[in-house]
Amino acid sequence: MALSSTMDRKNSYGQAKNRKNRNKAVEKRREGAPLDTRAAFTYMTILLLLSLPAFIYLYQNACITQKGYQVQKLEERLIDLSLERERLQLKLDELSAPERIENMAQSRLNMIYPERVEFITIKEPVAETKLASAGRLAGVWNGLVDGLKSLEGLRARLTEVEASQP
Amino acid sequence: MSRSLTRSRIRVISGAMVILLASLLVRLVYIQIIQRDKYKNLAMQQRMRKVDLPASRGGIYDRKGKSLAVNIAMDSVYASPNQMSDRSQVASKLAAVLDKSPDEILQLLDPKRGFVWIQRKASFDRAAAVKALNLGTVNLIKEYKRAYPGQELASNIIGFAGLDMQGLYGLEVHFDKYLRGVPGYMKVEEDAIGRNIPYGVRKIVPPADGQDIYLTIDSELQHIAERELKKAVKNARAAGGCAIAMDPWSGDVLAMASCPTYNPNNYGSYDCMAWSNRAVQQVYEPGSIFKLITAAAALEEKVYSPGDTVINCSGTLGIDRRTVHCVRHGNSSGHGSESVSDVIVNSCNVGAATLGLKLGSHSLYRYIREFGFGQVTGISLPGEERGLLQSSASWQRIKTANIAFGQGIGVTPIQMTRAVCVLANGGKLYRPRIVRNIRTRDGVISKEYKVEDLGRVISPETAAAMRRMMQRVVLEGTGKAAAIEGYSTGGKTGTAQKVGAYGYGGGRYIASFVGLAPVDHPRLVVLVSIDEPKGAYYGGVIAAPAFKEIVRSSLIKLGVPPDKGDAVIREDA
Repeated sequence: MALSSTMDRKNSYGQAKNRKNRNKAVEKRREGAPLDTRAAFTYMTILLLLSLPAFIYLYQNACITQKGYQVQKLEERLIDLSLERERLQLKLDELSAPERIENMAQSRLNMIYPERVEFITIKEPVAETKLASAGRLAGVWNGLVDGLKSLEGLRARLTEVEASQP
Repeated sequence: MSRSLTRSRIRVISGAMVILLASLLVRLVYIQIIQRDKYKNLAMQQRMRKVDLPASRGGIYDRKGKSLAVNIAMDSVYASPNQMSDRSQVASKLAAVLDKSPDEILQLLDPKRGFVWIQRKASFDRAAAVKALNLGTVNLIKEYKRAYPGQELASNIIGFAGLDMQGLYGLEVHFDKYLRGVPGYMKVEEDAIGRNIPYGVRKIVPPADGQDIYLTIDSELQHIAERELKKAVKNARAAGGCAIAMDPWSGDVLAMASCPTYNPNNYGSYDCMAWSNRAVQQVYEPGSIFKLITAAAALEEKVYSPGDTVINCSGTLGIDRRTVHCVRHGNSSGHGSESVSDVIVNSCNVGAATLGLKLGSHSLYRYIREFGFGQVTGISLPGEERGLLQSSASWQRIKTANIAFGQGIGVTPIQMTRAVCVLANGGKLYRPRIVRNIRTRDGVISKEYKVEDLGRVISPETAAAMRRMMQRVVLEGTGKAAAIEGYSTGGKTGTAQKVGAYGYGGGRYIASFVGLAPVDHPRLVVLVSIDEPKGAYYGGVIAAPAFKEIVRSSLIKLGVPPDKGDAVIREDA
């Protein structure tokens, strides 16, 4: 019993001492004691370094979101343009309808249907091509023969020259 | 206040706080863990929006890919009246830009309703004007509208689709299940102001767009047929008419015109009779053009040869107390001695009746069936009639005689054209084809309608003999108006009396001409029939000129070289 009361007293004494020390520190700070700037700087740097990836991540996310909205707008524009293309295609089909063209030709250009249809026979281009290629072949053949002949003449001339030499 | 009291109060408050926090913790666990899925779904539903993705209706194209029916996106105007503060002001503002009165619009703006259509598929200018009003409670939504760029071109074949893009008439309704497609939807995550959240949750069930239909119709030939038919009907002051151009070697319908016609972009403002396709829906007595069938059957059965004398026509023929009259009865002593060819050239009823009687009712009936009469042709068009053909078991002799020259039988123009194709192609019957294939949007053919050879009806020799007879009709018979410069042409005229409530009479006729060109190897079979012409009513006078113009222009368009000596041909320099 006596032991426990002694310990209680010791504890209450220790607590009172701690409180006294804290109060002293607060008082010192109130009095304008200089801060430990180095420690503060270190803390701030660590804080910044820790928060930097978070900032980068958030910035990236914001950029992606912004781009996403831009993509959406472009997609909407693409749809609008394709619808516009469809509209223009329809307009084109309407303008090129045979009845409209016929009416325009008759009313604006005073065109009439021919009384008599003339048929024109056209020389078959395939036959022409064949002739042309045949002609080309003949030309090549003649050239080859001429070349051979001149080669033979050259050889004969060479023989003559060799024979004339002592 | 004693120290012990303070302590006990602190304990009570702390205990209460612990209990409160514990209960919150329990609730938190219940909501966040046990009920997790339920609340997650509720939250998602709040952010998610379902957007319907309508399927685009398939297009209809001619054989060269020219569009005949397409879709066009338009803006529809809708309003949310339950969110409006001043409905009459909104109504007057809208009336200023739309084609409606303020009262009309005010009537639509039922304050109890959250959604009402003000104007569906408004014109581009009007939609832009509504958008410029920036009313907030009045908005625009994109909807597709069916458009027919050719206006009246082939409208009796194509038909039309309704406001909700559902097929209502013609090919549009017949092929609706292919054209319509299956709508899809998209679920997207939205932000607070209704924008789609990029890279948010997105579920898409894409729509399956409708398939495209490619026809056998040639737009240019269709235009020619419609133009000439309209001209013929107008000149004859007739009630209507129809024209068909068919490729005899495949059964492909190249042109199918009906008169009266209509513009499917504005189908509601026409009488519904103008919508019908006479080529498959009109049943009529063919008259003299049917003599071709009787003659072909008689030649095939070798009852006669083309040059054999059939009868000495005196203008009338008595059959079982009834009398068959020839066109020449009363005026002279009839056509005199006639061969099978002469019967066709003179269009002699007495001669045709004799051919029919000689052939016999059962044989004639069998050939009529084999030529495809009395049954639907199976062309892919809605509402096709089968015609009227009684079984030969019930035929009296007079009935056989009548049918032999085209009375007492009902046919459709498409049946008649197909039957003449048999004579043109050397004796084969084909199923008429108007749809070539159905393609997906990627151009892949999903369904092919092949050329269907249904068998031989007559021999090539009989067919050739019939073509010679048809050529004589144009050269020296009733069809001289069908002669075409540069091309050998064959055909047959027909003038049928229409049956009224009191039998034949009343001066109502159907004038028709059916023919082919060139005769030796026909590229086209064309039928023209004019319903109830006023004044002149003979097929050779009313229908043959239209036939001539259709065939002449079509052969030139098809690039068929002339085969007759009277063509003006010069050599290219």
